[in-house]
Amino acid sequence: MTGHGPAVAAVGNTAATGSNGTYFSTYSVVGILLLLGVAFVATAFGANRLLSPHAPSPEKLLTYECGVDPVGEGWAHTQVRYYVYAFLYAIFAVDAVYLFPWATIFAAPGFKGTTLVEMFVFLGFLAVGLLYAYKKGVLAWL
Amino acid sequence: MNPDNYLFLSALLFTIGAFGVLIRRNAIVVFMCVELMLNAVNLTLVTFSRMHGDLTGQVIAFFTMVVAAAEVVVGLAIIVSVFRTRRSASVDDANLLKY
Amino acid sequence: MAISSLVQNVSYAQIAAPLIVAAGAVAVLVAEVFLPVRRKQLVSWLSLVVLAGAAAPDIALWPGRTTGTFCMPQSAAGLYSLGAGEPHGMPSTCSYVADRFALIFQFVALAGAFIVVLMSAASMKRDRIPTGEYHFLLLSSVAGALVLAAARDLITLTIALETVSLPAFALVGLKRWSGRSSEAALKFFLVSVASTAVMLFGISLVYGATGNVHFAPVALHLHALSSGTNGPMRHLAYLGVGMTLVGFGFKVSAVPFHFWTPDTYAGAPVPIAAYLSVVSKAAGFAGLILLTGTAFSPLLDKTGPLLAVLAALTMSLGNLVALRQQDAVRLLAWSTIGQAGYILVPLAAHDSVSYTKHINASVAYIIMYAAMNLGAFAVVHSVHATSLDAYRGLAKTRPLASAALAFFLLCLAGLPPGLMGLFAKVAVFGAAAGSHLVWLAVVMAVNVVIALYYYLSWTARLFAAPDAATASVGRSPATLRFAIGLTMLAAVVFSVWPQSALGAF
Repeated sequence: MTGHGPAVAAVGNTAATGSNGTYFSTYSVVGILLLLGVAFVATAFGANRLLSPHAPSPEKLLTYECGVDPVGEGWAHTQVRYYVYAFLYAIFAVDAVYLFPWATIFAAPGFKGTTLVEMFVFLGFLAVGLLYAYKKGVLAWL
Repeated sequence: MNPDNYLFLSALLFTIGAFGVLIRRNAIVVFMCVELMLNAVNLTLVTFSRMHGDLTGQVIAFFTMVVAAAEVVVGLAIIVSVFRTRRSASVDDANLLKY
Repeated sequence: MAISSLVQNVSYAQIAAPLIVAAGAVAVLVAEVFLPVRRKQLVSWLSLVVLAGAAAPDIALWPGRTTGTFCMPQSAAGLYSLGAGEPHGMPSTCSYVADRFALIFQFVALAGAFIVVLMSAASMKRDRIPTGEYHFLLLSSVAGALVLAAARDLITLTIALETVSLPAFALVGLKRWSGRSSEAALKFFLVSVASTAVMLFGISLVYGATGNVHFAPVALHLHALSSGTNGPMRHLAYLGVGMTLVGFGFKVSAVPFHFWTPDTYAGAPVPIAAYLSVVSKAAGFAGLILLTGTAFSPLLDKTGPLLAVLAALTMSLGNLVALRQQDAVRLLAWSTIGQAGYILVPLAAHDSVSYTKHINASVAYIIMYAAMNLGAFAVVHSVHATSLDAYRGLAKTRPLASAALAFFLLCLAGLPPGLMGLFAKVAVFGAAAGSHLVWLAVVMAVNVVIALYYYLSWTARLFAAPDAATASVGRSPATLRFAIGLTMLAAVVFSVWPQSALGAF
C-alpha cells in the first residue's frame, strides 16, 4: 500500500475541489419535478376531500370485495418454499462485494499469483457452504 | 467537500432507526430499523473516508454490509422459527420466558 | 523501478489457533454430512480434538515475545503530524498480536469450549439438537473469540465480535421444536443487533475523529484531541468512544444492557447457556479491556467513572434480583450478571498507572470465574431440573455431584473452602482500593454479603432432607462426569495455587 496512499489522496482532492456548483445544479430539475409531483397529488386529493360529501356507515367502511361480504382477515398465508434460496442468495450475493476491491488490484504488479490463490481459498469456503446445502437437500425443489 | 450534510443525513437515518427499534412491535419491522441504523453507519464511514482521503472507511463499509447480510439471514431464520411455533411475529407475544 | 511484492507476510504461527478452529469447524460440517447416521456422535470427538489441537500452537507461543502480524506499512498511518516520530518509535499498526494477554483469553476460550462440548456430547440426542450444525456453530463462535482477544484494530475487533455472536444466536435457537428456545434466540438476537449497530456507529465516529482504526494510532490521536482545542472533533470522539463501549457493555451484560441475559439463558440448551456465560462473556471482557486499556486509554478519566457506575449498578441489580429466583438456570444467569460487576471494577480505574497495575485482577477473576461457573452449569445440566426445590436432599442420591456443586457455589460466593473465589474477590478489592475507588469497594462488599444468601441457601438445600419435589436422577453419562471432574480439578488447583491465575498476566 506504500505507493497508493498519496495517490489516492490526490485523486480524492481533485474530485472534491472540482466544480461542485454545476454538478449539483443539474439536480435542481429533479427537485422541481419532485415538488410539482407532490403538489399535483396533494391538490387532487385535497380537492376530492373538500368537494365530496362524507357520511360513513359500517357497511360503507367494509372492504370492497366485488359486492360480496368479506370473510376472514386480510392477511393470507402462502407457502414460501423459496425463502431458503433467498437466504443463500443474500449470503452469496453480498460476499461477492469482496470480489470488487480484489478485481481492481489482482493483476497489478506486485500482487501476482498469491492474491489469485487467496481469492480462490475464499471462494472455496463459500463453495463448502453450497455443498452442505446441497447434501442437506435444501436445493431440491419440493 | 463539506461533510456536514452527509453526516446530518446519516445521524437522521440512525435516529429514525433507533427510534423504530424502541417503539415498533413487529420483530421484522424492528429488524428493518436495525438495518437502517447499519446503513447510516455506512454513510458515515464513506463520508469520513472521503474526508480523510484514505480507503479504510470504505473497507469498513464493506465489512458492515456483509455483517448486515449475515444478520439478516440468521435473524429471519430465527423469526421464521418463532413464527412456526407461535403464529405471530409480534414482540409483545413473545412471553413464554416471563416469570 | 522494480516493484517488490506487495503481498503481506503472514506469521502463521501466531494465527494458528483460530485458523485450526475455523478449519476444524468446516471439517466438522462436511464430516457430519457424509457420516452415516449411526456414526454422527463422532463429530463431538472431532470437535474435542480440534479444540485441544488449537491449544498446541498457543502453548508454543507462550514463552516468546511476539510482535504481531497483518501489519500495515507504518508510513501509511499518517502519524508524523502528531510528532510521534523517530525518537519514540512509531506506534504499532499490526492488526493481530498474539501476546500474553491474547494467549490467556485464547486458553480460556478453548478450555471453556472443550468443557461445553463434553457437557453436551451425551445430551444432543435427548434435546433433539442437530449434531453437525451445533458443533460447526460452536467452533465458529470459538474462532471468533480467539481472534477477538488478539485483535488490535477496530475492524478486526468488530468482525471478531460478530463472529462470536452470530453463531451464538443460532445455537440458542437450535432446539427448534421448543417455543422457548426460539423466543430466547429472538430476544438475544434483536437486542444484540441493535447494540451492534450502535457500536458500529461509535466506531465510525472514532474513525472519523482520528482517521485511524489501529489501537495505538487511535490512542495517539485521542490524546491529541483531548488536550487540543478542536471542540467539535473532541465531542465527536467522546460520543464515538461512548457508543463503542455500549456494544461491549451488552456483550458482558452490564446493567443497562443486561435484560436479555436471564431469558436467553433459560431458553437456551444448558451447555449453550454455560458457553454464553463464560466464553462469550470472556471475549466481551477481552474486547472491553483492549479498548479501554489501549485504544481509548487517553480517555480513562472519562471512561473510568462511567465504568465505575456501571460496575456498581451491575453487581447490585444482579445480586438483588438473584435473591428471588426459584429456577436454577435463572439464578445462575443473574449471578453471572453480579459477577460481571466485580470483573468490571478494575477497569474503572481513572488513570493509566493504576489501570495497568490492577488490570491483572480482572484477568485472574475471569480465569477463575470460568472454572467455577462452567462447573456449576455442568452439575445443573447433569441434574436436568429447573426448579431449585429439585435440589433438596440431592446429597443423598448424588453425593459426588452435590459435593461438586456445593464447592462451586462456595467458590462463587467466595467462602472457604472455595478459596479460589475468595482470592479473586480479594484481588478485585485490592484493585478498587489501589485505584482510590473506596466507595466502589464498599458497594462490592455489601454485594458479596447479599450474594452469600442465595448461594448458601442453594447449598443448604442440597443437604436438606429430600421431599416430593426432589429430582430423581440416575448416573450421569461418562462425558458429563468427566466435564465436572475437569472443572473440579481446575477449581482445586486455583484454590491451592492462586498464583497460577493471579500472576498469569
